[in-house]
Amino acid sequence: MATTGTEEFTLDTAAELAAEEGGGAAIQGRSPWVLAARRLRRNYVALAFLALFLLIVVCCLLAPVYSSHISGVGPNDTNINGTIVVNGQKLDVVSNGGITTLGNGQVKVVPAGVPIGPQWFNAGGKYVLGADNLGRDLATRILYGGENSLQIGLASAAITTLLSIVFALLAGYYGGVVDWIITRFFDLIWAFPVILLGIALGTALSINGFHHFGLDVSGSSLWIPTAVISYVYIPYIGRPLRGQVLALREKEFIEAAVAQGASSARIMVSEILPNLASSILVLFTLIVANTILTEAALSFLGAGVQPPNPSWGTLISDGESDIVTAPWWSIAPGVAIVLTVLSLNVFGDGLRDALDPRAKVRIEH
Amino acid sequence: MAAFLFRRVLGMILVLAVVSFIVYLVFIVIPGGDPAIRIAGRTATQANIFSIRHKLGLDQPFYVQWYDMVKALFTGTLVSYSDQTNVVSQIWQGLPVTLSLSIGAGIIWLGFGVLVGVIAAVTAGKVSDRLITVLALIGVSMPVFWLGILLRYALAEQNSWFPDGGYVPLTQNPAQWFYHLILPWLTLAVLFIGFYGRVLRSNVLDTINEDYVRTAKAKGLSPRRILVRHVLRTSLIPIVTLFGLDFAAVLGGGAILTETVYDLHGVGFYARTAIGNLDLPPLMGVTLYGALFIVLFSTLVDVAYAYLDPRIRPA
Amino acid sequence: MGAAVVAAGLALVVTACGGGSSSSSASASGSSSGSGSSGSIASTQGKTFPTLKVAWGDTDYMDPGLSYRLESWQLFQDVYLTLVIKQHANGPAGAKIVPGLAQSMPTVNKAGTDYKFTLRKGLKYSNGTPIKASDFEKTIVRDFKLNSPGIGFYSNIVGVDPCEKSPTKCTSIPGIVSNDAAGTIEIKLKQPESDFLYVMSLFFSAPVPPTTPATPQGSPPPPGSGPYYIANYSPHKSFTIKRNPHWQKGAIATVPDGNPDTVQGTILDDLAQSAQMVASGQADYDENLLPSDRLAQYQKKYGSQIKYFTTPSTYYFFMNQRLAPFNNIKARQAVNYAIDRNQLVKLRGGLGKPTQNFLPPNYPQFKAINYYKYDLNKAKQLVQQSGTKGQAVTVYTISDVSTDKAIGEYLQGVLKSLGYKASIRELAGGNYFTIVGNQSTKAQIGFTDWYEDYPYPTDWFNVLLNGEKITQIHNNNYGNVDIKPLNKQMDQLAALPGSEASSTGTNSKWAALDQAFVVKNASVAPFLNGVLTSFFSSRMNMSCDVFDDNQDDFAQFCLK
Repeated sequence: MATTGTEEFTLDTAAELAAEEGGGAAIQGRSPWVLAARRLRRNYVALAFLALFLLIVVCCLLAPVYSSHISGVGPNDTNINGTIVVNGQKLDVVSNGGITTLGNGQVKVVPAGVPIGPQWFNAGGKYVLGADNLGRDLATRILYGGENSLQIGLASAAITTLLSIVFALLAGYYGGVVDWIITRFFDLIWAFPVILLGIALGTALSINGFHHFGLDVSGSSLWIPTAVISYVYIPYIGRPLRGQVLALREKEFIEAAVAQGASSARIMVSEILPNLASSILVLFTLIVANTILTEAALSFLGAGVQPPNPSWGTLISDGESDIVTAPWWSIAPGVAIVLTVLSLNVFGDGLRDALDPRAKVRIEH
Repeated sequence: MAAFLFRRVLGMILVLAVVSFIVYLVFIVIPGGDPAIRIAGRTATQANIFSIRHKLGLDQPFYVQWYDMVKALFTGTLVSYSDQTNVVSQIWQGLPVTLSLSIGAGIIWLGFGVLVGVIAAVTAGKVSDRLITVLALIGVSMPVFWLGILLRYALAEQNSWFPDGGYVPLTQNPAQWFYHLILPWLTLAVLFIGFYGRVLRSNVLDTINEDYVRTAKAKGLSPRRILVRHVLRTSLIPIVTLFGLDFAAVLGGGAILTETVYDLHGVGFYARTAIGNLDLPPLMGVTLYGALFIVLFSTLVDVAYAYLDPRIRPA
Repeated sequence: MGAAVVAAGLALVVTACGGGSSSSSASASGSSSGSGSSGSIASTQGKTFPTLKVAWGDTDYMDPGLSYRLESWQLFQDVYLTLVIKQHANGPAGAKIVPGLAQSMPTVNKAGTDYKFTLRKGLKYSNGTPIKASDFEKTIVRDFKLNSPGIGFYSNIVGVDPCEKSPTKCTSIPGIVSNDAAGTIEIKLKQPESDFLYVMSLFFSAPVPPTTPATPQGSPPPPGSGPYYIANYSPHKSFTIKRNPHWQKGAIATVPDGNPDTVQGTILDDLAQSAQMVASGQADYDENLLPSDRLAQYQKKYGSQIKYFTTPSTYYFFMNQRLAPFNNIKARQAVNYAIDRNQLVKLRGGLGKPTQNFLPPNYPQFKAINYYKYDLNKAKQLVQQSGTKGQAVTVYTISDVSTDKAIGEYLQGVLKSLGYKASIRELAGGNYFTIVGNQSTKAQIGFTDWYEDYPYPTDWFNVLLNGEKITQIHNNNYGNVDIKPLNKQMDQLAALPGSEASSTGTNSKWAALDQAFVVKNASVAPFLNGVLTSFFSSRMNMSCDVFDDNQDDFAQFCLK
């Protein structure tokens, strides 16, 4: 059943690729990294999606350029009573209504406040993706929001990975009480539904920030969602890594290193860690996809990115209450999330196939 | 087995105790979160605020407060700060909604996940496999709340094909119950279908290469028989683990996003409201309730694992 | 979606509703049970029908001693009667105080410190217990024991101090003297109080049976004293209201006997769903606001089934007068000139009426202010003159009510265009007012709204803008407005005997106060009065609807 080797469209069938290379002779004497790079290079789909991800990152980083040269407005510039000219026609950015008094406390209302929809490039770069209820340029906000979403996603993935590595090394190497404590700590985080824990922490911390232990973080700081997300994902990486360390600990080359009198720290860093590298790389890529989704979910529930910072999640949440009259407002940032996460997932899969077919991340929402 | 269970239960209790303590700590540090001020109303007198604080035990040391709260929770007397409703009975009230949502969605995602995974594995490399892989990847890449908003907008608001959110009890009208839950079920299931399908696909492909399958093939067993008797059985084990944990999370309040988007007043929705009101007692209740499910299911999963895979037996 | 949120936003600010009190309310000797004569109560002859189904907003309690939300009060108006009630009538007439459980308006001594009420005879609670004069005092005592949010209203009653000091230990209030045999209730006040009868019409004062425990009652709520009682209440889910079996038709001329036999309420905080229930005919009345993004759509399709009412609520920006830059009057004036009130209405989808007054319209004390014409250039000049340009300002607003959030962000934009370094802090509605009302937060400027407790200006000026009431932690005067002569003036107006409370002279003094705060001192920047929607199913007869001070009166609803 494992099939036709030369297909480039192989997302997670490491078996196939392995079978293809399985000639055996060619592999010997080559570093596994070189092999992996070779495998990855052949996975055009994964590479294409990596390019897509990088493109999204670059676009978001260029938000200020878009803001000053194309839309001409900043992410928080309101324009509720403004008008724009599209194809020679003057349009209100946010529709006007009116109210008439009928007496007896009764009034007559003409509904108002519907923002203008996507203008694509008919309005000279203004309102390409439409406006929100305050007349702010949605495309500009999505780019700036993306900067925040990506920053939180990448930073929290990095922190969570780093912490997990430390915990996994300590637990797996020392075993015994250390292992017991760390495993219970994993269990503890694992025992909460991610979102529930995330919003409880996020809400509590975003009210007045965190001002203990010499730290001074304001409530609207991006570090709060970053820290919360890093924390909740620790066991998702820590557990599989700990398992690997446990297995490695029994290997002969470690015992040899111990016998030679190498210090524990040295063994962990220079003997065990390199053997984890490929798993770490794969897990990191896949966890970024999850942290970005989690950031969106927390922000959607008001427990993530706090205003005035936009993020993809807060944009969706803002638009939700006007979905009937202004669907673009929620749809556009969602598309941005899907593209970003999809590109990471596809690339992550490719990376996993190339490096470490066993690495898996349990997801949740 | 008995010793194993005993250890798990003990660990479970420990984890629950620490979980509740953490929730408590997180919430006592909230400045401006003094529930007494909010309860006292906007024409509050200082004396009334003190009196309420005393009544709620907020003038006690925090560990006493924590103990009292957990005790009240287990004796079923814990009440919310914001409307003094009984936390346990409110959770019970939300349970049918959450159960309906998670069981229905669970059936869909497990069924379709397995179906999709097997089809993809069996037809690996063919068009159907690629299509499934692409769809599965898109499925796992969508924020669940966004998908919910989109489905609700497109199918319930633009076109009135489905009800615009809400829940009808099964006992009241089974047809409406079903009709109201279709969109939430799909929303919640999509992500898992994609994920399970992918996991199962690679498990099946991995298993096929294992020795005993090769042996079976060599013995001349029919491919269908090999697939069902040998490959699937082994490949499904990780799925059972995943399902246990995911199902527990969803049941334990993890479906908070789906419940919010479709206005289903389940346990997750209750938690969300409580967090919005900074109402600690319900949050404590839901968190412990959720943790209980997760810890319970992970124990069950371990037991099931041992049963399904004779190679693993807990010590 | 966005739903719970809107209802909660209003309710935070708390309850009741209405128009202007037309004079006579506190007239010394009883203006007789009259008011039946005012013809406000439509005859129920032949209009009764079996079941009314309603979609209702979420609420806090269904206990008159604790509930502080409109959603409950709207139901209570036909369930829990007070000694005097607000007339069940449309428009300004709905704020008129008329006899309720009392057979006539109270007898008041000349100084205005002693009110004597006489109970109607033969009234019974829905559980059959006769209503006794002493129940009133016990109800107030119960409020104290409950730590009710309403007890602040009773601080002017003689002998209330020990109860205020330790509410849960309250046993009696010496200033309330009841005589069960004669059915009289005498209330002694420490000093005259112009709004006292309005306070008496609050549901915290509605007698409940003396055996009602001093714990929150909800399942079921305490027995009713009006034409209906709440038979069943399941928090955040549903309620059932039935006719009080012991109610005698026409027992109280000012209270409708009611048309529906049973009211079945579904509690929903999702506005879209709530509206959908009525549109699809599953419910007859939608208590929730119509979702603003569907307003146009609904108006087109169901235009004749929707009514809009302005409510006694004012949305305004507070400006902290203890902190720069708004300790400078020019800066405050600049804000008043720079906000475009019509644009702010747009942010509520059109559900608002632009205003510059602090008092809501419909009050007899209301005199429209037309001073701040939107003028950004003038505002910029004022900021320039004030020398506060370039200062850092943080705007506070509510994050989980989409319209309040947008209003705050609008203000941030305005302040930026005025040359301030404006940032914003958005807080969840659940603790917004607790945080902003804490002096240590040092909130400079921000969003706030107020929905009256009762239709009299004391509930506005004396609660929100009185410098003597500024507190450290649960402050309602967010801007720390403290203008000595105006404090004195409002204290005097509040201490008028009831008989003078609504005289033409008093009314114009209140109007002058409004003018002094908004125009002369630019103490606040009011921008709109809230507008509510009433959406009925096609089988309902819209002409029966009475939108009184507690909003639509369900008892008077009738079928086509």
